[in-house]
Amino acid sequence: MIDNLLLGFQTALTPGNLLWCLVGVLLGTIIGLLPGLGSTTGVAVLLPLTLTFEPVSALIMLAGIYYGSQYGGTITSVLISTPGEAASVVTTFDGYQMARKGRAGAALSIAAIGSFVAAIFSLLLLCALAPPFARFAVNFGPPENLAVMILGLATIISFSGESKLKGLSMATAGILLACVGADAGSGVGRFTFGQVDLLSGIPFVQVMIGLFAVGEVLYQIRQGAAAPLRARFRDLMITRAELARSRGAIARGSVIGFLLGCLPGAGSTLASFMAYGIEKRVSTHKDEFGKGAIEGVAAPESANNAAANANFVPTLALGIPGGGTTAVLLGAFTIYGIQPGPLLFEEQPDLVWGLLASFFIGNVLLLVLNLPLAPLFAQLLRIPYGYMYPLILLTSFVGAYSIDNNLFSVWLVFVFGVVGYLLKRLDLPMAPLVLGLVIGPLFEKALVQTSAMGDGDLTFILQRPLSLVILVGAVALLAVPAVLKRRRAHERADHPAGGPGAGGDLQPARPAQRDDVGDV
Amino acid sequence: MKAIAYAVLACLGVAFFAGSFGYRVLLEHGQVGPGFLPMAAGALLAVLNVVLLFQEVRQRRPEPEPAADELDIHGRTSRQRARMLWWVYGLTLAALLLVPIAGFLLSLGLLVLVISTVIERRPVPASLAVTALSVAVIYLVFVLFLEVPLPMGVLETS
Repeated sequence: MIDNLLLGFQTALTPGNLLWCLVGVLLGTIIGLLPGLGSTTGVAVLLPLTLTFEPVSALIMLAGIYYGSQYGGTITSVLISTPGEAASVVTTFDGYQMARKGRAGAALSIAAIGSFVAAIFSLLLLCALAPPFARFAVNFGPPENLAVMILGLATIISFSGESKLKGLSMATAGILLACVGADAGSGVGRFTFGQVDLLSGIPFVQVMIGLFAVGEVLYQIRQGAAAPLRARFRDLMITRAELARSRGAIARGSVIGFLLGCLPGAGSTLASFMAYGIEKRVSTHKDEFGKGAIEGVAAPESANNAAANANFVPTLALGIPGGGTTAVLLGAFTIYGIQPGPLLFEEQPDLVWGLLASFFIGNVLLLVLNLPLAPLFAQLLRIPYGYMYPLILLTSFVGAYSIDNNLFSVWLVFVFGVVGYLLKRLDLPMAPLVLGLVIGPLFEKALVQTSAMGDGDLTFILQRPLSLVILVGAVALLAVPAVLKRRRAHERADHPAGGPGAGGDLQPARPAQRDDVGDV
Repeated sequence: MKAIAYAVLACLGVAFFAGSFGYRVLLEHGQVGPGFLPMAAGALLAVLNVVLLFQEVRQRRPEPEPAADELDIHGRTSRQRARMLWWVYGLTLAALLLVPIAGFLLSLGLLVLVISTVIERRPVPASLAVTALSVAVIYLVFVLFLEVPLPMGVLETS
């Protein structure tokens, strides 16, 4: 592997390739800042610009756009609660709350550091384990994919605070919204009411912009204007204590991100949601989640970056795209006459290892650029909200239109903006709704395929060892906390206040007070 | 208010459940058809929200009314903020309806200007500068660089 990496660095460190890597991460960051334009759109829009390049230079630049735009999306998630992609939705929960408390610089810094560590960790694994991981991923058929999605839903429901019923209800509503449009299996148009625009379904990017950006604007107007940021520049920097708190979250997020990112289709979104859910469970600062816990930014940001790199495992080793952007990149490979697959590592070592080495360089560039820039970006919050929110509305609507050049997208943003406002006012969690909408089509596809494999018998999913293990994990995730809670209640009853066992919980007992801390 | 939301969601679930029978719920050999997921998810949504509705009604507490003198940093009362919300909502709706006629940049630029000057009572010169700058940036990035065909309305015809 070392020889291959050296060969890769020889290719990637040429002045030309270094320049294209820098251009890629810069363009990616700018694209990520624009609502509606995620990495997939960015790579697709800029692909024609690279047609005259050497294949390796073109791929290096396009990959730079991919991970650069993810960081750009993080900036808007933290500063104005506008996620660029579904994978950045989780970052808004604590990142935006940190920004409201004058800690936007710290949130952006930990996102950059977490993303960098996760990227390097996942790249090392990618270099070492791509072929065996790819072979493992092939074992994931529809039943296993269905089980992973059930696990993802269980995770998000489990971290919907005390109101698990509300979380499940919102996730179900998201899945129902995903049922609108042509059915993946038969192509039958469902619940479209004759509207051509609805045939392709309710697009989640527009829903996300509406719920989070426009919904937040309306909510802030109703709640009362927040004071513009008054923090000194040095107060915007991340502290040693915050770094120390984030270590575990970054490590766990990286591992979760890599494992889920290797699976074709599961993607970064599920990884970021699961990393957040698990972090909320294991953190010693549970009570801060949803109110500006730095771990709540570090874990999902690390996870989605690790997953973005791991997406290249099935893409390079099998020729199966791991996600939307890698699907576009796969198209770029074929444009340059390169056939991804098991033989790619042997037939084009300089290209593959040059690309992988450029990931290291690109992530170093992103860290070097963004760490000092994080407090500068945070200065945007000095703009009075009276100017800021009309601009958020303007960019949200223009961004939504630019996704498919259709006014229908703009109306969707408007409608879901009102829905987002109402959900916030009513304290109903939005994250399960988005996750349901994102994984709904994949969930249905896996359900239909599993049903076909089992000849109509859905218990077929229980006959596959891997899917059975994952389902047991999902049940444990929902059942174990309930069992533990009941046991603690019994212990409290046996040992009244002041007696042994009364102080055994991580959180102090607060009877007669609903514990909604960190609801999403 | 919450009870109404649960009732609406329960009705939505029932509507999806009922509508799913218009498609095939099961195919030959009992395989999952296009109506299966809407049927199952619709039923689940309805049941969950009926449970939530009952919980809400049973534990009904009077909703805390925001205090009339609860002022924000600009000294605006809760009632004034509610009025502002309606105004922003209405102005946004009007701006979007105006897009086919006046075009994207003109109607949304006007929205930015009206909100910052009339609703937020910001100084007119500063609001004009912010509006002009933002419209110029949007034009440069989306129209010139990304070549997004934003509807231009009257600007296009002229």
